[in-house]
Amino acid sequence: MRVRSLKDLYAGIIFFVFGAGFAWLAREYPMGRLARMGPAYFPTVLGVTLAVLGVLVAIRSITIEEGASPLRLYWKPLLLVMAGTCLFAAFMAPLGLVVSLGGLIFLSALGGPEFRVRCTLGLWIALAVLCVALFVYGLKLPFKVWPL
Amino acid sequence: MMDLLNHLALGFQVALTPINFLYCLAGSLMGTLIGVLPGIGPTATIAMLLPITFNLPAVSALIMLAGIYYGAQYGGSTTAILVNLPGEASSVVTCLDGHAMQRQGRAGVALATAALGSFFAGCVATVIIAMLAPLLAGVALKFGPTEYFSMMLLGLVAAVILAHGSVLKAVAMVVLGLLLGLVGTDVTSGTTRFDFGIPALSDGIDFVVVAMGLFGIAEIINTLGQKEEREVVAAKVTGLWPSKDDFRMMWKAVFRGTALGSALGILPGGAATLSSFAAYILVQKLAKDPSRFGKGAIEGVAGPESANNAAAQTSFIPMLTLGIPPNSVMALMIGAMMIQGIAPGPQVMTSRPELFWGMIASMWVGNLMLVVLNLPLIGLWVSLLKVPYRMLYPSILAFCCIGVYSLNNNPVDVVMTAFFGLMGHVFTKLDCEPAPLLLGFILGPMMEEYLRRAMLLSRGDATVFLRHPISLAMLILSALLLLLIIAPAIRSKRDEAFQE
Repeated sequence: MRVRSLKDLYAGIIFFVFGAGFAWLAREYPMGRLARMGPAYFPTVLGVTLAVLGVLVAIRSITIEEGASPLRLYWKPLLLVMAGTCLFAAFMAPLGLVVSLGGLIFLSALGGPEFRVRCTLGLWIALAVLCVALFVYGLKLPFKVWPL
Repeated sequence: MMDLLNHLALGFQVALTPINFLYCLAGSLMGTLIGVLPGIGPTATIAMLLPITFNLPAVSALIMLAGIYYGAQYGGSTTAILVNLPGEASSVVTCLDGHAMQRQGRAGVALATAALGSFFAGCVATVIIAMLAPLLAGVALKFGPTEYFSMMLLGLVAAVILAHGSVLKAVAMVVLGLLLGLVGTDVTSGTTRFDFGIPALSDGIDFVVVAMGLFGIAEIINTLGQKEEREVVAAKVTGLWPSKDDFRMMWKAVFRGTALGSALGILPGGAATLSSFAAYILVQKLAKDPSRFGKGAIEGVAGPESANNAAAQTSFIPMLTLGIPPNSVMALMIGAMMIQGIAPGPQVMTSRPELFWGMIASMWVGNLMLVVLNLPLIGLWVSLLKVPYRMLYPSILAFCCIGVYSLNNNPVDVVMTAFFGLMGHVFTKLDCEPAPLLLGFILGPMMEEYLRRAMLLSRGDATVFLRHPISLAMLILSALLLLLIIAPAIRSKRDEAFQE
């Protein structure tokens, strides 16, 4: 018994975890009966279904005739884009739009093919101007612009 | 007939007000722009603009978003023809004969063909929507919760069928989407579910967060990881107008593409992309000399381009009349309507006729604008292609983050978007389609409501779904579709079609 498709195995595991997780979390809400479905009913049914589907997908990883192309996550862009986004989230309230944009742009630029400091700097300035003009003055969104 | 004319008159009245005209223009231009640029598509763009639509009047917002969608179909063909780069998935087939024509010095003719074919398709599709929508809405008004539930089930099943990759995984994605949609307050019982004590989650996961994460951020990550360099060769475009011979050869393809596209657009699934592929195959099979294809056959441009535009527009029908999104773009449009406080469904036609007919009329206006504007602006679009992606994607990312943050000024939303970006990337790499998840997410809470009500009315009798004729018909159709896909013969054909 050889795992021929790692992708299917991982997908199956993820589905199983989500399905079982939702069903398990739902246990603290009342189920009710079919005629009067409680808040737990639909989620439990769906959760169990998803868990079963997860198992089926995982089984498929063994029984499939030929594996699909190898699994390759794009780690560098993934982590850097996520980091940039989370940094943006963290900086917006205390430090304002301009700084948050800076963090986002630099981190995400690092995640890209070629990182050029001056280009990125220029992009930051241009975007900061554009976004402040568009979102703060144009659309009057209540964003803090500077850290003060 | 008179009714139809009255409705269309109302529609045009709404669509041609200066402000809506401007929004239509903005949408169409933006759509063309993102259609031209690879790496960003209508789904991500509409997701990004959703927060802005808060502040706009409902009709204007929807007109603009619609313009983005069908504008992208026009834009995609421009780069497909000129630079052999499909800006949109639906333009991939246009690359084949379109770029061949460019190499023969007939780029102008190809572009004009694409534009004219698309315009024709757009006009026909608009008429179809105008005629078909009221009929459908009339039927749907008789629907009870049983019928709605079965219909949504059918919509989800059909979306699974037409998704790429394994059906099993697509179904799992749908179920996952349904579950994620249930996070938040259960309207009927008032319980907050799956919120982990985080107040931000008590209202549920915001739709924009899921859409931007799955389609905007994940798309950027996917593109960044691929180390392809884009070669942009700026070609000179002369001789725009097709000759009489060209017209003679293309009109059949345009008709066929339009017909096929209109039909396929209504079905859930790939809409524009699937239609363009199917149209190419159809036109090739019906041509007198199939060997011309791939070498600059004008039908190879006319057919798919008409099809994808027709499909883009008719895909509005299920969304506007039944409240069922046939693809992810329509799911976002429903999101936009919900943001405006409009509950999508058959009653939209009667409760907000100016919205409904205004949108339909604006589609025609938008098509006209696109034909008139695109041909002169081609040089502009091509030069935009020269902007390196590394300048583009941080900007897109910035707009995504700002957009999400502007929903509630809550950083948790932005972090969740990052998480959905992770999910989107991981799932795409595991060969699981994210679009069914989005559809499930939108329909989840609604399906639960309808199921609950149906069970309440029937006092727990599950056979009610089989006893109501319309519901039964839809369930049988769902089962048939699922069986069809499992049958190996059909499955290999489907895989073949996707591999091309």
